Amino acid sequence: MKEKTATEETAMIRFKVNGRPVEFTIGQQVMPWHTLVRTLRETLGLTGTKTGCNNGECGACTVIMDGKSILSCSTLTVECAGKEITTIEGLGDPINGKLHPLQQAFVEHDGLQCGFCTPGMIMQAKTLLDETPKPTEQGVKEALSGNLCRCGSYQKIVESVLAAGKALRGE
Amino acid sequence: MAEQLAIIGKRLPRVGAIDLVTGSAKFTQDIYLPGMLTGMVLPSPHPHANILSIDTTKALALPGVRAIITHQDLAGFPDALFTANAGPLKILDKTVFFIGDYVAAVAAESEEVALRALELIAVEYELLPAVFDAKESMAPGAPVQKSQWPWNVWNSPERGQPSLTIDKTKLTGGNVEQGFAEADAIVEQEIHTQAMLHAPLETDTVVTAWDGNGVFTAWTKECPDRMIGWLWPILSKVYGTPINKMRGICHNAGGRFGKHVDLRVLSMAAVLARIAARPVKIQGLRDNEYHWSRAISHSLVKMGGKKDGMLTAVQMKTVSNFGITHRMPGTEPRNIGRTPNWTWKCPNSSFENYGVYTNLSGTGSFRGFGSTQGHFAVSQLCDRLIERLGVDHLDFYLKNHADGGDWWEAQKQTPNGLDECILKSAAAIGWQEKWHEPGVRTLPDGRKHGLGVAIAVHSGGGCSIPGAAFVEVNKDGSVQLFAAGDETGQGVYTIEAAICAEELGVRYEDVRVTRADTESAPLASFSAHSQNTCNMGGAVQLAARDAKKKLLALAGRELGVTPDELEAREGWIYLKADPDRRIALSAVTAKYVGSGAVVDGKPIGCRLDGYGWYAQWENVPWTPGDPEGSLVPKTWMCHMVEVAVDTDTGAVEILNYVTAQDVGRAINLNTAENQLLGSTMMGIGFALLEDFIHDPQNGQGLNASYLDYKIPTHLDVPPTTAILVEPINPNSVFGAKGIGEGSLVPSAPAIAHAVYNALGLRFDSTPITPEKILKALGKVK
Repeated sequence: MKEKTATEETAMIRFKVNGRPVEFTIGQQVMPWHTLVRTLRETLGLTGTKTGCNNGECGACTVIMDGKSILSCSTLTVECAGKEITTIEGLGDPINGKLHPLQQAFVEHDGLQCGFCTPGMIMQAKTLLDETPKPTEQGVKEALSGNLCRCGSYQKIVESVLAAGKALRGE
Repeated sequence: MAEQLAIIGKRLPRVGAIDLVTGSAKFTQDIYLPGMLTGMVLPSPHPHANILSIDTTKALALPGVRAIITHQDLAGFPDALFTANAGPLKILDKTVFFIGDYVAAVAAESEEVALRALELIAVEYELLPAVFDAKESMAPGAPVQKSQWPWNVWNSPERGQPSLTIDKTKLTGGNVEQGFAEADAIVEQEIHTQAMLHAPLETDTVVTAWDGNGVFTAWTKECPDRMIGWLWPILSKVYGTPINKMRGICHNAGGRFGKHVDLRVLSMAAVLARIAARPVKIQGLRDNEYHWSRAISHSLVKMGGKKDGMLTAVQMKTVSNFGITHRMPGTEPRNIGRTPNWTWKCPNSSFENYGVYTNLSGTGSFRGFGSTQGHFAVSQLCDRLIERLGVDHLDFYLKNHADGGDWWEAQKQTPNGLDECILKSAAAIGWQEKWHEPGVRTLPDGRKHGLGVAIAVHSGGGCSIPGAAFVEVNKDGSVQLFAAGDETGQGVYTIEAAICAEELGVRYEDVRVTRADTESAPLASFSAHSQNTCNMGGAVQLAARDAKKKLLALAGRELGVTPDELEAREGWIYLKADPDRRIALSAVTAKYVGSGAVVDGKPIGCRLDGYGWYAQWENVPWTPGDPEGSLVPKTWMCHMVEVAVDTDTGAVEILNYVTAQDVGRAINLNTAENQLLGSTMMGIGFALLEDFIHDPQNGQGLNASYLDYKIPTHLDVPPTTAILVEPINPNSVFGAKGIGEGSLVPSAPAIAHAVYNALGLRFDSTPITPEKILKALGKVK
C-alpha cells in the first residue's frame, strides 16, 4: 500500500463562515464530495440553511460567498478555500441580537408561511439589495425567481424586500 | 362586536417568525441526535412484481451498516393504516405494487454506507402484469391489485358497482331524470384533472429513537398525536409499546398541504432504530415526494337549467385513480361528490364515484381535498350552461348558490358570505366594464383578452378531531399555552396565541405557545380538513376562559367587587361599569399565584391554570352519525381573473386576480391574507403549470423534480387582490372558519373560464398548457 505523502496528510481547507475562520482536514471532517450545505449543517451545526431539493432547483440552500449568492447544495466544500461565506445565522447583529432589516421586514410584512424557504429567500434578497439598493418590484421578482415558496407567500415576500430596501436606504 | 376585540382581527406578527427569519427554527430535517444513523429505503424498479428472494448478506457485511429490514423481518407486523377503511398496506410486502415501492430499508453510519448497502441487496423478482389507467383497471381481466376488492374498485361489493354514492339523507335526492326533462338547456361533458404533487419544500423526513425504558420518540412533519395514533397499533402489537411510551414532536413543518407522513417509512425508521439501538433519520428524497399525489379524476357531468337561470338537475359520475392506495378512500369521493350539492340549490342531484386501484403510487388528501376536482368539473359545465341559457354569470351564481336555507340537510348552515364575495370581486376587477363575449377582445399587443369567474365551497373546519389545551399563567403575568396544533405554515400557533390573549385578557406578546410535543401538550386536533382554527382555537378559548374565571375571582377580592362585574383586556382587569377602576393582571398574579389562595374550593398552585377540551359535536348543532352534515362550517370563495392569451405561443398571462373568501372572521389579517394568496397560487399552478406525468408503459413518475414539475415562482405571481369577507360564524371560536384550503379550489375554474372568454375554446383538462392551447388553435399537432 502506498504511503501517504506529507501533503496528503495535512490537506487542510480554510475559509470563513459568518466572519469566523473554520479549518477542516480533507478526508476527515470534510470529504472531497461533501457539499457546502452538508458541511454547514452537519459539521458546523448551522441548520438555518435548508436542503429542499439538494439539486439546485429550489433555492432553499442559498448562502452568500464573497458577496454573491450561491446554491450551497451545488457547491463543494473544497471549492470554498479562502472564501467568505455568510449564512442566515450571520445576518443579525451577533452582540445585541438585532435583526437585519431584511429579517425585520419579513417579520413585519409576514413574508413567509412555513418559513422553510425563508433563509434562502432572505440571503438571495440580501445580495440583490447589496447590488441594487433600490430595486423595482419586477426586479425583486426576477432576482428571487429561483427561490421557490410552495406556500405561495410571494406577494408578501416582495413587499418585505421592498420595505427592507427602504429601511436600508434610511427612507 | 368587532370593536371590542383587542387582538383578534389585527395585523400582528406571526408567532415563531423570528425563529424562521434567523434560521433558528427546527424543522425535522434539522434534528441531529448523538449517534444518529442514516436510514434509506430500497425502491422497487418494477410496477408489479413478487419478490422471489432477497439476500442482504453482502450488505450486512459492509462496515458501518447497523440494520437492514425486508418483508421477511416484518412478517406478522400489522398493516400500516391511516384509516380503518384504507385497505391493507404492509410496511414491507413480498409483492411490490408500483415503481418506487419499498423493498428493504437500511440504517448505516453514513449516507455513503447506506447507499452502498442498498446496492448490495440482491433481489430476485417475478414480474406481474400491471395496469396504470383507472378505466382499464376497472375493465374485466385487469390485474388484481387488492385481494379484498377483486374488481379494483374500492368498496365495490360487486363488479360495476360504485365505491360511493351519496344518498338522499346526506346530500343528494330529487329525480335527475325529471330535472333534465324540465330543463330548457342541458350540457354534458367529461372533464379530466391531473395528478398534482404537494411538493412541499421540506421533504417527508422522520427521526426516530428509543430509550432504555422503551420510550419511543419520533420527530416528523406530522401532527404528533395523529402520528402516534397511526403508529401505535403497530408498535403496541410488535413491541408492546403503550401510548404513554410514545412521544411525538413537530416544531415546524416545511409545508405539508395534505401530504401526511408516510406511515410505512415512519414504521421502518422505528424498527431500524429499535434493532440498531440508535436514533435513525430517514430524510425524504425529492424524487420520492411523488409517493402521494392528488388523484387523477375523470368526471362525467351533466347539468340542466331553465331560461330563468335556475338549475334543474346536476349529475356527476367520477372515476378517480387511487394508485395503489388512498389514505382516505371514502373522503375523496365524498368531497368530489358534495361539490354540486354543497354549492347549488338544485332540487335534483345525483353522484357516483369509482375509486380505482392501479399500479401508480398512492394518493390521498391534498389542500382542497376532492373539491378541487369536483369544482373544476362542475364549473366547466356551469359555464357552458350559463352560455346556453343566455343568462348573466354573476346573476346565475347569485341566484343558484346554496344560502343556508332549508334545502338539503347539509346546506342548513351558518350564513355564508358568498354574495359579498361575488359583489366585492366584481367591483374590484371591474367585471361589468370588462365583460365581453368570448373571443372578441384583442389587446393592443395582439393578445386575446379574457375574463373569468368561479365560485366554490369547501369545508371551513372539519369536525372529526377534537383538541385540548392547557393555559398556565405565571406569577409575573406571562402565559404559557400548551396546545399541540401542528404548525405547517398556516399560522396555527399565531391563531392560538391570539385567541388565548383575547379570551384571557392579556397582551398578545405575553403568550408563549409551546411547540407541538406530546410530552408537554394535551391531545391535539390536527392540521387537516382546515380544522385547527375551529378545533384547537376552540380548545384554547375554553382553556383561557377557565383560567380567566380564576383571575377575575381573585381580582374581585382586590377591587371589592364580584367577578361578574369584571372584564380583562390586554393585561388589565377592570370594572365593566367603570373601566378606570382597574388592577394590573400581573399584580393579581404576583399576589396570588403560588399563594394557595382558594378559588372555587381549589387552591391556586405555583401557576394559575386553565384547561379546555373542544369537540365540535358538543358545541354546534349536530346531526348524530353525520360527520359531514350541517354543523361543518363551510367557507365560500369567489375568484375573478383577467387573462391575456398569446395565440402565437399559447402563453397565458394573468393580468389581474381577485381572490375573495368568506373567512368567518380573520383571527390575524397577515396570516389570513397569506392563506388566501398561497392557496390561490397553488390553484394557479394546478390550472396552468403543474402536471405529474406517469410513464404509460410502467407508471413511473417522470417529473418529480422542481425542474420538470413546475410550481409557481415569483414570476408567475399576478397582481392579486385578496378580499376577506367576514360573516361571523355563530358556531365557532370568535366566529372564525378554517380557510387554508378553500382558495385553491376556484382558481382553475376561473382561469379556464377566462381562457374560454379570451379564445372561445374550451379546455376539458387541467393544466391548460401552451401546448394544449396551440393544439386547440390548430397551430401544432
